[in-house]
Amino acid sequence: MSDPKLDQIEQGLRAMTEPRTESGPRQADGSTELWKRALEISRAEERAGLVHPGADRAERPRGRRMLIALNAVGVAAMVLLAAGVWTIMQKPTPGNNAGIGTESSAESFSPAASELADSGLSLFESQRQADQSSESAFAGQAFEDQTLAMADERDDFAIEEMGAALSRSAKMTDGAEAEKLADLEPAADSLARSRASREIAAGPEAGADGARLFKPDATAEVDNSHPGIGQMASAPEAGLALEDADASVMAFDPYLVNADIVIEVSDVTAAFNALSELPRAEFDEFSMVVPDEANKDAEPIDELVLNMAPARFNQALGEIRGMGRVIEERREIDTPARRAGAAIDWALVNTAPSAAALQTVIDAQGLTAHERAHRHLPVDEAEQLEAVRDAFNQIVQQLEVTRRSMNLSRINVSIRQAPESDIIEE
Amino acid sequence: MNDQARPHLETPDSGDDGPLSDERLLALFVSGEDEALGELARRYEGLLLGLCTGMLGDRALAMEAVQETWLRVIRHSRTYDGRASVKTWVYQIAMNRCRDLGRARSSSKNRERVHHDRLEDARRAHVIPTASSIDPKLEAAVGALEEHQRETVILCYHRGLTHRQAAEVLGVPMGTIKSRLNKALEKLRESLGTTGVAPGRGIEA
Repeated sequence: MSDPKLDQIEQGLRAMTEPRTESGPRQADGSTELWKRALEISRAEERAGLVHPGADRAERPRGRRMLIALNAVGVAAMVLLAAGVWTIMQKPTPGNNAGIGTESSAESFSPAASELADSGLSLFESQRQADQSSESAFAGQAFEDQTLAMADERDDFAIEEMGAALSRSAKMTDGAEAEKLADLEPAADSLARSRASREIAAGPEAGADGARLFKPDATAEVDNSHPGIGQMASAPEAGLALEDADASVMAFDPYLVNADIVIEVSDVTAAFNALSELPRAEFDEFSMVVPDEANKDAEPIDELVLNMAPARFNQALGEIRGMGRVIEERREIDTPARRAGAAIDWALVNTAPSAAALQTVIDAQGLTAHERAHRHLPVDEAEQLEAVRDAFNQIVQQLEVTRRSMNLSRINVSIRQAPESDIIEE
Repeated sequence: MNDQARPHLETPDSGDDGPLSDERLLALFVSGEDEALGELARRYEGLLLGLCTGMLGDRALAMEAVQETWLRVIRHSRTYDGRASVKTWVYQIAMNRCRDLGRARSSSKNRERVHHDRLEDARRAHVIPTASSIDPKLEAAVGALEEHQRETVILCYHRGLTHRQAAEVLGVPMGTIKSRLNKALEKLRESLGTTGVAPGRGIEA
């Protein structure tokens, strides 16, 4: 017997998934031949050397062999690390025994690290000094002492990272979660070390953050927002069952997305604050405020650029959508190569003021104080030094932002105040 | 579609004039023939875009899902092992992308409202033609179904797949597909103000 209502539902369902043909809307919105875009992205990735087995068609197993080799190296490193921890725990030295193997590792760090943080001496600087010492073949006692101190610091860091991992494992009450964590420990350790090395390279920030560097975040949990874990759902697409797949293959999915979203909210300040808290420093994420300089008399519009890890992009976008009503949304896939070009342009634009400030110092040379004042140049040596220092810090900061932005997806969020009527309805 | 515009894929063993199989096209792509991927895309891109639009209710997201599907097909083409047909494999990847994008979106408080709002937003922005025959109420009702029911109903009414192929894509037996589909239709009828779905209605093997 025919059921008109059901027929209607079935007809509607067919319409919902109706194939989209080459003609009509697809061409109108420029969406034709998505496979070509995908192919371009894939080729760009191959050229950039970011991916992966397909990069060299002649040597098919090369990528897999490399992965196996890398895994082997990782396992060997873990074994060495564990052996090192065991050795140090058996033979504590006066300089590094504080906090080893204790639950309160977050509170403890070595005296050497403490001194380093207190003195404000950057790790980058001490590393540079060590390198210089090495290059000059200085074989005296001072060099040995410094090398030993550096080794102690590295050991402390490794030990405390391990302590934090053990602490996290102890907190896991669910057996399955603990198993998952155990599987992911190498990735987490790798992430932590990568972060540490980046913080060291950050230079001026590293000195101030020295203490933080040596204090693992005991509250940090490995969860679904971790980029590596977030990509695990993709494993079956590699032709592997999920449990057989190597999550590390998926942890480096390099595609980037640029999105623009306009949301209407009842409380702009609260939304702005919530947005500011989305980026997580451990993934190198950060936000930038975009001031509305074009029209100061316009309605209050706050604009924020969130630079998010690709694996957390959709999660962040979902949270933004949940904050209010989406007025407009656009997105486009970006490639690391294109992003690098944009980042360099960005760096050039944003370091230009600092370069101009440095130029004023150069211009001030050879002039009298009266002439400098007349030309609005730094008058005395202290002022010139201050200008140079400020310019240098600015350039370093801008370059750091540039470096980070090259690996992150970007969400440009505009927040608008919802009309009164909408707020009342809500 | 203009068949004359299609590139001719010359292969050593393709003596007949019949169309190459999906598996053969994928093999050609792996061996360096990019146009073989283009031919695969011509067969499935429109279907996938329709499927993903139905799954996500958002054309922009659907386009992203399809593009990512091709990206993953390209990346993993070498590891395709032939256990499932290429068609099923491609659809499985597309469904995975839809699930990922859909889950990210469902983190917001009210999924049904967001689903409907986004559809309206997209229409307002002319992303989806206003002349579309999609019923917004039905769209919202489908969006409110449980994930496995929504997937089942979308796949089963998608023109590109038989119910047996839908079962392969979802990795479940035909019996499960039938029961899920019945429950989903029943829920849709309830949501849309009617009751009593005839048992087995809409099932075609």
